[in-house]
Amino acid sequence: MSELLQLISPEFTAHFSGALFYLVLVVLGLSIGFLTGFFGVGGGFLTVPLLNIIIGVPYEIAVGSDLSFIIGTSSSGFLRQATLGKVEYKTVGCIAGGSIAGAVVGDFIQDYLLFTVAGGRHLFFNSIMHSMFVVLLVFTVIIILKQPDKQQPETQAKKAGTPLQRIKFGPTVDLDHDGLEGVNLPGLILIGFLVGILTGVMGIGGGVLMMPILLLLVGLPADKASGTSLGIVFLAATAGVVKKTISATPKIDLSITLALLVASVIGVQLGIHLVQNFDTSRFRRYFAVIVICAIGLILADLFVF
Amino acid sequence: MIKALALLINIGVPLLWGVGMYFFFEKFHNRNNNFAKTEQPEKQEGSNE
Repeated sequence: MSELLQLISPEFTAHFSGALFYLVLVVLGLSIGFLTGFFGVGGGFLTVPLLNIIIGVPYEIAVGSDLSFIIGTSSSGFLRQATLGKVEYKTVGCIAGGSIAGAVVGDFIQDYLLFTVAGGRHLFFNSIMHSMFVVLLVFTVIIILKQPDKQQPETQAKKAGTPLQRIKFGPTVDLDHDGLEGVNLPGLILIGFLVGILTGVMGIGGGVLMMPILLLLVGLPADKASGTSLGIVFLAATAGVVKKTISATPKIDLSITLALLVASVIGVQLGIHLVQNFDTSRFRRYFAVIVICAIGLILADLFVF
Repeated sequence: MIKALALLINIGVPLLWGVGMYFFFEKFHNRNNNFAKTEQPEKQEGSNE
């Protein structure tokens, strides 16, 4: 029994203990849920560094618990999109094939960074992970601010073909009923694999990266990109949780997952309610400001504290 | 055996939560929609008159 408990709730020293630990966790879950409801993004790229910096959860456990949290959030969203018929299943299958493998490889890379590069020293490992998150968040800000209008990629795709349609080598696959033909299959799998590695190493679902990829590189219509992305994220997160559970050191704390899941449901509803009173044309700027604040917090933890 | 059980818990619990939340909000949403649908025709009839 204690062995099972160790596998689903490993011991670690956090900044808070007892009720305060869960209180801070609930506040964090509320905030992440609020961002999801308000901006429509998963927020996985904020959850992991904030779990580490604010609560003191070791990165490897923060990543594992966040992936378990993503299973809960993405399954719910995916079901909703699937019942509305807004999922392109062939794209999910092709990209998820790569992202499942990527998530497993990503966990091996994380172990390599923790035990070989950092020599098991968590302070050094934190610096590596902090640096990786800063790079990812800067990249995210650039994507958010440079993202074209939703209609633009569809017209571009129809005129000249998407980048994945223009690749001439390797087998191709026909996607979507709207006539997205001749999409490069190895390209789809490679994209999934690379995003999957980020899932395994950093615990991000990849929604923020996957959406522009599906719109711009693959050429999916905007209404199907969200549901398709959720399907891929769900499968990659599940693969990541499988690998992290059977790993030599337990990396998932179910109490963190559950606290985040419960709190985020309330946060999502608050976000959805509040978003109706805001000017949606400035969404990208609001979101970019939040991501820049997160970058500032990580840099402060890296260099000041 | 213990790891298989841990795996079942680590995946099953969040999955059950997600599916449960979907059905909860879908039911809640549908109830509101059905309410709106039953209310709307009466209003339209009124406006046509």
